[in-house]
Amino acid sequence: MSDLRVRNGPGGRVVTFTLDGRPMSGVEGEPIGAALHAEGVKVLGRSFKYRRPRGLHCVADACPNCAMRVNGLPGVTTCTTPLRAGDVVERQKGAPSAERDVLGAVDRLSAFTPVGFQYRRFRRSPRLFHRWERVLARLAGTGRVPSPEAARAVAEPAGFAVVQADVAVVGGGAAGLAAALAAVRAGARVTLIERGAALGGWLRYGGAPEERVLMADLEREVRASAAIDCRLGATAAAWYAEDVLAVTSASGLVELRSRAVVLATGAHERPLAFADNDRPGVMLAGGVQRLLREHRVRPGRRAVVVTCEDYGHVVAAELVADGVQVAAVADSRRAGGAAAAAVAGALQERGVELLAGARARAAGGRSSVRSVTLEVDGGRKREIACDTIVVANGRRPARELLLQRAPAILPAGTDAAQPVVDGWWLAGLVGGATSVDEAMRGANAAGTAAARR
Amino acid sequence: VTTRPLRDRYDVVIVGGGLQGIALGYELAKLGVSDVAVLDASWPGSGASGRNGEMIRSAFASEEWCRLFDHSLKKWHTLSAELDFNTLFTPAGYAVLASDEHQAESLRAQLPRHRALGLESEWLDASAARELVPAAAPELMIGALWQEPGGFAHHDAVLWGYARAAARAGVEIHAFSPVDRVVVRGGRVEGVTVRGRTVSAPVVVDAAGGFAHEVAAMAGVSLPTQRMLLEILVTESVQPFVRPAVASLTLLGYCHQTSRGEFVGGTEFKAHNPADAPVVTLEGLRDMASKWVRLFPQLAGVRVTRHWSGLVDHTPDLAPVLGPAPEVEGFVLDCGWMYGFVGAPGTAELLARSIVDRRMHPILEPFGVQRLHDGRLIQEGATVVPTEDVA
Repeated sequence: MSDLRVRNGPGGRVVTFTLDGRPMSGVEGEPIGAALHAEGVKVLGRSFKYRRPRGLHCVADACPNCAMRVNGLPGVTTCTTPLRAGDVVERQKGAPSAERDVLGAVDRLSAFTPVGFQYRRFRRSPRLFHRWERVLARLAGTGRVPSPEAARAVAEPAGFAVVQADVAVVGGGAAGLAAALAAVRAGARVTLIERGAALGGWLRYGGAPEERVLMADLEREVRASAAIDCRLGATAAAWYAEDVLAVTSASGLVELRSRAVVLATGAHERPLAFADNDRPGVMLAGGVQRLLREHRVRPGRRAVVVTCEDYGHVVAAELVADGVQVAAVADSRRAGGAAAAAVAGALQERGVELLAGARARAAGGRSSVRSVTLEVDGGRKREIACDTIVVANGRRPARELLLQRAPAILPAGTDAAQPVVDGWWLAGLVGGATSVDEAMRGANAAGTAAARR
Repeated sequence: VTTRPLRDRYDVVIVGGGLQGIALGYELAKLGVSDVAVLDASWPGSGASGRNGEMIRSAFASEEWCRLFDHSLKKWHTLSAELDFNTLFTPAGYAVLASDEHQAESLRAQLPRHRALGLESEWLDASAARELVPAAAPELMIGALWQEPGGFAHHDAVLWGYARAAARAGVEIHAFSPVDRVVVRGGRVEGVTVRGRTVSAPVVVDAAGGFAHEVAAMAGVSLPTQRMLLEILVTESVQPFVRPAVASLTLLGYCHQTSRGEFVGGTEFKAHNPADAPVVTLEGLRDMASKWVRLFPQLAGVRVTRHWSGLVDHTPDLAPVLGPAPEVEGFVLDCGWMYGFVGAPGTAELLARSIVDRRMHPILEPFGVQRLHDGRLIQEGATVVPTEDVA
């Protein structure tokens, strides 16, 4: 067993699959990306233009870094796609392989191909441009089109089903579940959309023990309710002018019509700007927690956490508890809060250096992270060896759907019982909730108001 | 885009900072009329110019269209060098696919006219067409009208190129400067007001795209045009499988694959809502997705990453309205466009010359607004548009 797997893991059947034709093994149902990570595969693909190596980053299906070809289908985000026995997984770019891509040289020669160079090169010679373009066409495209079998499998269920509900709830985290239950109590029939394979949102891996209990209670109640049509693995991809939500899933496209919508889409973790912050091995803190607590896979062997909030310290403590050496926690603040203080002793005991007022400036390493360079004490550079850089840089509301309907910046601190635009309510992190308590209260108010519309 | 404050007076004010307006500004400056302000209610290219199918051809059915668009097509081939900015124009050819004998016959009937006017076009039978578009479903391609010099360009790059060249020549492009009134006195245009502030100019051009008839109405000019929503989708990037620009008469659709590998395809369907904003519809998504998968079965399973729409304000014959408005002296129309992207470079050049010469260029003459009032519509049978729309 890979030393990246935590021993007391969830268990499960060990299955085999292939990566670029090479045999691999993993636990059935865990994300393909987690299985590859445990097998020591860090480079999952290459970026489009500069062919930079890309690896697991968000573990939340929120970025394209882990996109691979799976069973003939291009662009599959492997960080959240469950592994099945016999899966055929391929990296989409790189020659001869994604690890040793000869075109990676493009990145090293980037002085000759600055951003927007295509608008300046060859402008005086259409003929040269057209020749260049033919070369580009050979390199273009992230993946090949789907194989005929994969295309058929996708095309077959392509019925356009229409689903009617009183209230549509988008997001199956704590706020979404609480809003759905509140709406049912107010007499509504609810359709609940969750794009992941399980309910629970970030509390499943990021919550405190009592919050996980709350989550389990909510989930039990939702599952027991006959008035909630709960759809997992379904994404509310877009809002359309007919005032419907387009919901996509493996079984096709559903047109969801409802009187009211509660958005409980949560939040995205924010990446942090530093040189080479896209190197495989740079991971977002929530993604690290998912890997570790949900899938029992360590993100690496030696990590440095860079943060600006207490959350980074908490994740560092979890890493240490599960056997990952943490070299340092670099906090850009001068002083942390209560949650950071609560774990400070445990961290120092395990030899974790706590650096206040320290910022990440660069990741070292070519195909994956080998070090991080920090700026400490107002300007002094310090390089620390590590194979993982954990970024805990706060979150921003996941407002993509809302912006399709209301392309404007919303006032902060809106009353949760008030619709944010006609017929739409916000619940939880997307509405700016700062605590689980606040999210629950707001979700109840939003769900009730939505049901009464 | 200029950061200078709007001045009180210009030689020419162009209402609308899309491709038409900015290209016209550039061409006027080339002719020495550089005291020009281009005003956009939003940011330049925020209308249909930035929401565009990017397709370029000139092989239409009517003489009027062929002459105008072929003049433009020739400009497309030298535009990057002229603007000193790569518009990413790709002359990969343009194929109009026929799915049945009736369509094939109507496409072949255009060839003598093309030949007479010196346009490069040819008829390809099924096997020749398959060589150029091997990915297309055979039942939707029994042959194709092929125009080798056609293709597509990057709509943003074209706009940026024109805007930069225009600004360098002294044209002022003012963003977020909505025109609320066109000042007309004694049958002559005297300028416009922007948020209540008067900007005088002896010549005002209506290049307001989807909102052209509102701007014309401000000058008391009636335009028999109708606003229409055009939707289009873009897929994730996949390795190139279609090289030329392709239109299908059966699907009422047009598409191409960019050099990045994204498939860009739009269709036109009857049930569009008369909209005042560029919204997107689920009906549009369904129409486009199902049609494109029919033509290119390998697109099944490829994700749609973007879906957008643009507004056009089209005429009953789908041809543009170009030239002076007879009711108001000094008020010039450059609107009613349906094929505005391909038509812009050539039209801008000829319209600028016409404004300076105070006499319409012969290629533009047939497109005067009077034809619409007199019911003398241009008979053009080679557009990819639902025929019920065409009066």
